[in-house]
Amino acid sequence: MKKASILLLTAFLFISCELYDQDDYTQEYVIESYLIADQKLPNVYLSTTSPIFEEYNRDNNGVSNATVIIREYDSQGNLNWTEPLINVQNGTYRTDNEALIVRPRHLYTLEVTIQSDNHMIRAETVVPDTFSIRTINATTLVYQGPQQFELELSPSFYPGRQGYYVFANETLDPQNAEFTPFYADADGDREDFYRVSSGIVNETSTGQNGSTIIELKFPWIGIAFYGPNRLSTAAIDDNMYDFIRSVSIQQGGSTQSPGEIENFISNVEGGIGVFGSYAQVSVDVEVLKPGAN
Amino acid sequence: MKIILRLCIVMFLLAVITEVSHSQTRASINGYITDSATGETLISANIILKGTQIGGRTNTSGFYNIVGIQPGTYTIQFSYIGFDLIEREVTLESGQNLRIDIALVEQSLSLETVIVDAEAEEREEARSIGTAQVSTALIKQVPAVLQADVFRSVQLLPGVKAASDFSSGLYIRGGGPDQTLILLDRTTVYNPTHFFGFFSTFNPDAIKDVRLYKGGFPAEYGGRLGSVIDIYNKDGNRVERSGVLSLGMLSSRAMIEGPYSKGSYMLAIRRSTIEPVLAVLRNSFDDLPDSFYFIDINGKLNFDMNENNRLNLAFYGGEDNVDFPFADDLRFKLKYGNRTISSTWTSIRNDQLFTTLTATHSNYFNLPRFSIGGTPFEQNNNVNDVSVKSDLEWMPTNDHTIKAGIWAGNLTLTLTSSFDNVESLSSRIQTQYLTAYAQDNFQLTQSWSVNAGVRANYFTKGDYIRFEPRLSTEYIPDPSIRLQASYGRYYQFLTLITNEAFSGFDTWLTTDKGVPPSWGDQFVLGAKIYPVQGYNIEFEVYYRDMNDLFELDPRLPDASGLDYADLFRFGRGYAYGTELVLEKSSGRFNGFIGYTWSITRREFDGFNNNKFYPPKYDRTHDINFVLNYRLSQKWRTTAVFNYATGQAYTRVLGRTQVSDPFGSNPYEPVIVGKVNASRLPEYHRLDIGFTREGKFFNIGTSEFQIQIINVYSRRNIWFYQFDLEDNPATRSEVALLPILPTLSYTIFF
Repeated sequence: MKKASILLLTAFLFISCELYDQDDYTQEYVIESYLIADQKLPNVYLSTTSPIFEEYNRDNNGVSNATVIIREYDSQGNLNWTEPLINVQNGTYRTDNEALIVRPRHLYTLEVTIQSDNHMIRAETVVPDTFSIRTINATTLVYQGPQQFELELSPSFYPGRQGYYVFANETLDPQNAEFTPFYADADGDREDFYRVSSGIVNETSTGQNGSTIIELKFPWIGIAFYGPNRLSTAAIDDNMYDFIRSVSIQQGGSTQSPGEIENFISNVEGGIGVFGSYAQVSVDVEVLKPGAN
Repeated sequence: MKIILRLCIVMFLLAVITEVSHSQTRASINGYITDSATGETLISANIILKGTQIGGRTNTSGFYNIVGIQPGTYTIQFSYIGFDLIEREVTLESGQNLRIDIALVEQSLSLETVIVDAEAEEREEARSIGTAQVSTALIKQVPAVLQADVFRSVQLLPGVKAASDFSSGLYIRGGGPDQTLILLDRTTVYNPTHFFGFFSTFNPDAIKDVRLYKGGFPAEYGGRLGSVIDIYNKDGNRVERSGVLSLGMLSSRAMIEGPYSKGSYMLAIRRSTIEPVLAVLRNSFDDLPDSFYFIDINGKLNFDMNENNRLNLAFYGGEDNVDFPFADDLRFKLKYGNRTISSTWTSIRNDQLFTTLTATHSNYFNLPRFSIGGTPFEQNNNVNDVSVKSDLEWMPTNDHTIKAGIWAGNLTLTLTSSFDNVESLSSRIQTQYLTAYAQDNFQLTQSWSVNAGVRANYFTKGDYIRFEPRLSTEYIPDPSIRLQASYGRYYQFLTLITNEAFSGFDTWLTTDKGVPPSWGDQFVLGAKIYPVQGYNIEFEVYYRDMNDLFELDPRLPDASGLDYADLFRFGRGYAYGTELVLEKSSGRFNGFIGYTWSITRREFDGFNNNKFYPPKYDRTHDINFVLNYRLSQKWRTTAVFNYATGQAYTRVLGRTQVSDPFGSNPYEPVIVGKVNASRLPEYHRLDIGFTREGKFFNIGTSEFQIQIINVYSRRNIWFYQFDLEDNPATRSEVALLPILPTLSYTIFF
């Protein structure tokens, strides 16, 4: 009986203990680089995280004592070239080789070695295929008038899945352009709205999965300023897809309980961040204020 | 579809089978037990042949049936909590089937004895393992935020947790709200909320009975992994016309009921009445809705075809409607609600057989409309569930109560949405379901009984057939002690997309190919002890697991073009705990203390590094005091105190910054620890209410209630919010309800 009591007590204590302890902060290395199809090799930014209640300074957090190498492979997996990047300022690495152009449907790898602790970071991306704007119905329209900007795009190919897109708009007259009504009421500084973008939209949402045309009716919510604007569409790779979708719900997803947060997805081995790629097209338009001539 | 049609025919035949051979040598008694004041049937009233172990209780139609009685003279006791016990002496002859309909008289209140009780009575059904009954009196008495609420009262029971002060959702024994089947007059209700989850839809004036099966429930119930809440509306007063009129701060209610030549009727309406408050507030505050209201209507019509056959038609309709212009060029409108209608035919086929045949239709809809910066977004979400069910209760001998039934239905879920006037999603899921069950409550000896059953499910979406064995047993070594054990397997073919803070967009999805039904086993042990008259001690231990859980992947940005299975994340979970209830059910001072110790864990593939984590609503310790005290003939008071372990949350540990190639501002991702590995400060709150009973101009009686929620205004924390625009980042507390007084005035006529 005594043994049974001890056993029961031990069992109770065991199940009463909190076996799921809170972990402590540990510093991580952060990678940031976006390869753009048909453009020159981008910079790579290497930094560290900061504890949440300490001041974060992007420049101070840069890591300079690293070896950063980017490699390009063809679709057969053969190495085309290897390019070591040079550190130009705190945490920013770049190449001076202007001849290196990011090619669509190619695989790029990133290898970072931090000398101070011999830490290795690796990541890779397959660049989405380029695409083009086939038609646009107008280049000048009245804001919230009877017509919207409607574009026909050729789809971007990405191996193994449908295309994932982000639509964006940028004012071309940031200093002088007048806000549209919704943004005039919105919280935030003026410069917060110079560039606005959508969330991730699947190719099928445009109704054209597997077709040769993507039809985009650019929503008025994407226009923050009257005047000259640049409408853009970007086809993103898997790394950007995972990064954007997971970061965007950290401040509250539609189904998660408040306070239930998970780390964002980093397809980076030995660190966090994003080594992503995209292909982009854009067109310049003029948005007229209603009633203006 | 042919199979479904054939089964419907079988179900109809089941309902019309009239003659079942039975023993001619023994006698039987049966009938309805009602409230003498209203004629309302009483569910789970007790019947016992005094001096014997023979007895029974009324079913959900208020009908009882006791067979296999040796001829002789007996004193039969009829009792129900809160009513005077009635004794009838009868002489039964061989083969006699005696119909005894009884009308019990509600006890008159006195200061010393408020609730009296009899020998072996009181909430017999509620003594079943994992079961609790919530009286409408308790629902109306306990202090409630702005208005009396059924689910808020249920949340006081051990094993039931609330997500927050703002949510009436039921989190029972580790399960989320979608794991509880909610039935109103035998009809499934898919979104039982008003005010986006703040209140439940059930009007306490219209309700007769609320029964909660927390777990380990028998084969007659199914379709959900965790629990069942079975609610019945009032049939309507069969004696005289009467009504209730109640004015409250948030809503007002009216109910009328009465007899007619062939039965009875009941109609109850509740509508929010905050428009005048909003109109006044608009003079001082911006950002208020242009219009907001909720309304619900409950009705029931009973038609007594003859002594043995009754037909009823029950309906419910409710909706919330809000129109909120947040800012210039930003408008939000939402209409959501439920409609249910059911018709039930109850029939006493003979002294051994009682049947019910029910046809139901349940519709849930939500229709959000946004217009942001000239860009419209619209969504139409509809659930339509049409079903027919047939059940029988057969008592071949007094040792066996056999229940069996079939439930067949067609469920259609439609979801369409458009963005900027272009259709972005169009989904229509149609599935048929068929369930059949059989169970036998077998009295092995005077002390031992066993309830064994099996439930079979067929769900056409995904073509799944699943069997659910159920077994429970009870041992009564002494009339004051009941020892119970229960095991059951449970399947669930639906999942709910919801948010604990807002139920207005709730969306249901089903299994399909590649998305198998969730399933789990439940084990429950219980002991119920009645040390002295009017005192109850109840103790239960449970363990349950949850497998093949499927939830909408929270990280999914756009569902278009994906395979159905790719919409979900799949997982598993388990929960275990103990629950203790100490209850004083009689006297001037009565109430209960409910304590729960529990652990709940979930795990989803690709989430939290594939580790089990506690969901936010997991609370290790949770204790409730619900105490009633009658101060005088006119005044009574109720106090509710809740103390609970703080809820789980994820601690933010670090931050970084990554530029956004498409936007003006950089991404500011945070680095967190294990999901929900930290705890908010403990939660506690005291609510108190006073009720004064009086007369209303010789027309009727009245009740004036004043209630104070969160008497000492404890700022319990809902969650922490991090502001990354501050550098260093700052953390602020988002608090739950502060002190909140509520007034209401109710007239009974």
